Amino acid sequence: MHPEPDELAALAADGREPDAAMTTHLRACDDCRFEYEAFQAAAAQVRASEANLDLDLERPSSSVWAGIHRELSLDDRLASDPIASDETPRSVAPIRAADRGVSRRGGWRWWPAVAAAAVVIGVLAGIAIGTRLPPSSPNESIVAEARLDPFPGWTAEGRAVIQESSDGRRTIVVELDGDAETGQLREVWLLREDATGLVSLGLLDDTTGTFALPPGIDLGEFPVVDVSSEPSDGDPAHSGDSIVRGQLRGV
Amino acid sequence: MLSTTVIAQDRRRRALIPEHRRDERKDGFRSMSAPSFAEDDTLAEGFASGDEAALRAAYARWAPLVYTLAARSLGNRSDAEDVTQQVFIAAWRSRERFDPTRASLQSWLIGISRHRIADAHEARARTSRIEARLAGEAVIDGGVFDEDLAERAMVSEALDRLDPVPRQVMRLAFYDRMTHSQIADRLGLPLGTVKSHIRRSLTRIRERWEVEDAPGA
Repeated sequence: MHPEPDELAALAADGREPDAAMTTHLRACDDCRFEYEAFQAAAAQVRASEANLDLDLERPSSSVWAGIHRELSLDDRLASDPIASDETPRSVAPIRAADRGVSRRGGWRWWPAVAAAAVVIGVLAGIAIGTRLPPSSPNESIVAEARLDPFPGWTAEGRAVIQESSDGRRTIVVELDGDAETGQLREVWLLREDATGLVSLGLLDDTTGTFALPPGIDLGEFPVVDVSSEPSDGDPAHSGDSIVRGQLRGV
Repeated sequence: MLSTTVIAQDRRRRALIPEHRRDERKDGFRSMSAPSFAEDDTLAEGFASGDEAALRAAYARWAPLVYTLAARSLGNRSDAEDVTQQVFIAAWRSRERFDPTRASLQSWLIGISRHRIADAHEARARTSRIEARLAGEAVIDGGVFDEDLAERAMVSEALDRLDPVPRQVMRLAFYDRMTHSQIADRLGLPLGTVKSHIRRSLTRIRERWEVEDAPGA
């Protein structure tokens, strides 16, 4: 007997493995399997939409609307920049350079990589390691760690661990020893392996700091922990002056 | 070493978003600074019928998306601003070809952006080919369209356009990760109704995706 479409959709939304009977049926029945896989793909897109899109968007300068207004000879009353009148300040973050030479896979096909990473993290959860860092509380487990090695000119070294609480919230604890003087600004980042993208986690005040990971961030995509020395010039971009860096590995 | 870098989700940018805008997330799927979907439909109809105020409103709403798609692909603010300008000018001049009953204004604008970004790459490649021939070098212009970003925008829009109850069901299931029984309890709905809402909503997303995938403007 075929499962109800509602059941297939609910199963896909759950993200759990189908039970044995369902697995057997899906293997044997093309129609149900296609249906299920289509629901899974849609569910993956919904999950991926959780991160707030607004935060990822840049704003064009006022000259763009001015050019459109002029080119199309629009009504004078519509001349002011529609975006500048918005109360949200224009982002000062740098834009991303083109992914040169990388053929980006289309569609939602990147999702299996995310799912695989989640499985790895899930499997690794619950294995604690001995560490000098603050022990995780009973409902937190260490899911990944990194040894942070110095860049030329620095003698610092450090470690980072990712903790995950039972409700799925993740924090990163970063510890830095050595000659990184206090008094200078040090910023903690997660980077793509090829440094084509990065996420700022916050400033490291002391030798140890704890930062919440933004929900939805994929550690498979941003597997490198970096601590940089930052001038206090108000520019939110990475200074390019890294003190230590290291790759996260599951424990 | 990090001269050209991406800020994917800068925490400080999050801090720049006013508190009340962040709170919009709690009410539903609002991810664009958007009016409700009823207003969206009015906006699309106004645009199609040549209302200049609707063009301005569409720009306010979608220029950041168009610009970011262009900037990420072209890696250059100035080229991205040129493309953004061209997209809205082209959209306005060809508005008679826009049918609000067939596609959303957002997906139409994304379709035009895709073409204009490709044109910008082509123009750039032509210039580099000439320069490279003079210098005897090979040329690669590898900028790509950010499909993930375009899809997130389209899925967010589809979720925003769900009716309030299914939208709430989807938010609880996917963002708050509640089980279907918990959702049924919370909303006072039969479990079967919760599952039906999930099926219908996922189907809407699928169908939307299939529509968006069709050749655009």
